[in-house]
Amino acid sequence: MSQLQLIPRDDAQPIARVNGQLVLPSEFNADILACAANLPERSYAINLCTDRYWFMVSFFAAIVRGQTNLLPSKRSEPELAALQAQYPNSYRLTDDSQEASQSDHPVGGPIATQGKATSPTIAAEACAAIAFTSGSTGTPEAHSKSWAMLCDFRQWHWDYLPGPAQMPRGLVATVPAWHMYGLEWAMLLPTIAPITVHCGADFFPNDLIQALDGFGNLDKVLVATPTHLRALLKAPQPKTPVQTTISATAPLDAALSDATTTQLTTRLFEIYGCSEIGSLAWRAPEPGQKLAQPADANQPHASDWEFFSGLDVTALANTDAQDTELMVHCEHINQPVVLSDRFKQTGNNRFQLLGRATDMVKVAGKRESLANLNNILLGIAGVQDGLIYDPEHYDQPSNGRLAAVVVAPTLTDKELRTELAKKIDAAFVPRRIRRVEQLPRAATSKLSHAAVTQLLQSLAVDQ
Amino acid sequence: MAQTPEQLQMAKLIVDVLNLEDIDAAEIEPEAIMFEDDGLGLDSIDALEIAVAIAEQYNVHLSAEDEATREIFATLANLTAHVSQESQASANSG
Repeated sequence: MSQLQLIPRDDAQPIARVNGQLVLPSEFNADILACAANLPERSYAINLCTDRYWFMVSFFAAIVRGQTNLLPSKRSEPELAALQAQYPNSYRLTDDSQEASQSDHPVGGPIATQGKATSPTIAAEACAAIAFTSGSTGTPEAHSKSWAMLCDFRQWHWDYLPGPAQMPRGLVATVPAWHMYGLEWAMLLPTIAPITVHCGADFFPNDLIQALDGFGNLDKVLVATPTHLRALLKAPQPKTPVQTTISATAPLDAALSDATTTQLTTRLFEIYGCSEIGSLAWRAPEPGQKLAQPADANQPHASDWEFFSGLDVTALANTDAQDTELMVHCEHINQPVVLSDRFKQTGNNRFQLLGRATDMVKVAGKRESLANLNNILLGIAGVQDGLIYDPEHYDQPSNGRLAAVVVAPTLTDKELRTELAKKIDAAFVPRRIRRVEQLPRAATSKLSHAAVTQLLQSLAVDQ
Repeated sequence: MAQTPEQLQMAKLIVDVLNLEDIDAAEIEPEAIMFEDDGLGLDSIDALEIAVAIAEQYNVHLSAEDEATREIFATLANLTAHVSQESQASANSG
């Protein structure tokens, strides 16, 4: 059985900065081992820590104890109760910042007070985590991550990260560690590369600027999303340069991409991924490149994405290279994943994104199936018929939020939203709700794209 | 409870920024919880967008490190009070 080190780093560079206090890798190891010794004797840990430092410590502590971390896509009470019913031998991990109930296991307290320890080793095939994604049926789908898989991914990320590999850096992340993107780039990467991760509530532009400036002259990495970058660019800029900015959850449009590279004087490194596997592809656009058209549309373009090596990518049968669906496999997953986007292949391992292939929608970095949302809508008492839709699918003005058109004469908008919010994540609750007497369903009860487009256009004219 | 002029101005900012097309700014209750499911149902990305607009309009920079952030964002009344207090403080010091 091969064993892989948990934190293969020396103490040349701290691994974390918590309230200004620097934590060395050996002190981090000691905190992990102390935390591990106190964990309950169970098989599965549901890590609900909101503090980045304690999320990391307890995530690795569970692995040290031979437990599996469960990573639900939503942290609402019904979701968590369902998860615990499915995994009876599980427990909830919480930190100081939350109100823990008696059945939870609290972690937290003073940091780096346990002395120093060498890195433990973990069996390569141990199931380190199970990430859950919203399935099209509404039941979350489980995706196991072996320790070997997490180790391979962190090595790839380090290999691809722009700049000299051994350069010490400071990292600030806007994404929580329990999101697969945050887990990979803001938690696992610093366990192998000489990176100090800032552990704080980094969310508003002001927080980010203070955290970045707090690293002084150290090379800096910002792990963000298009939403956070858009907000940051409107705020006063950091005093010191941000050498590398990583962005994921949605592609950056040309204007935001250019504004980020020029205003932050940064190297942009964009990630494309799927929550089933994780980060899959990257691109590093220079200012102006996304808008520049290649002389020959079939030639590779500077804004094309490139898959990370180590992934086996094949086109689905019966599709052509101009508009294809792709299937990704790698040695650590049980079965290949069909990606929910459509692609134009522009070369070996290179592609352009054309749009969504399925009914999956993405709001604020979260993914959900429209079919599932609509099943929930139609299940609400008082809703005779209705459709939750993404305005962009119908060329309607959009602010990145879903909208709905409903036949529900007895319910107010507020009542409808309240009922929906009990069952779906707030991000997916439709913002604009329009009332109609009936939906233009065909005899098969299907709502065609054309009929919905026409309906929405007529409603827009009425206003 | 009726809105103050400052609260109405803040309510308009929120409605504008979040495109809450079917909500009348004047009808947002000053003491109603904005981020709960039975309130306006706002989430953290909305808070980010509100914070950006507040920075632009009032030159007040909110911080998530501040433990009171959750309370500040809880209601229209709290948010308005915090922003006017901070903008006066910066006017006095500047």
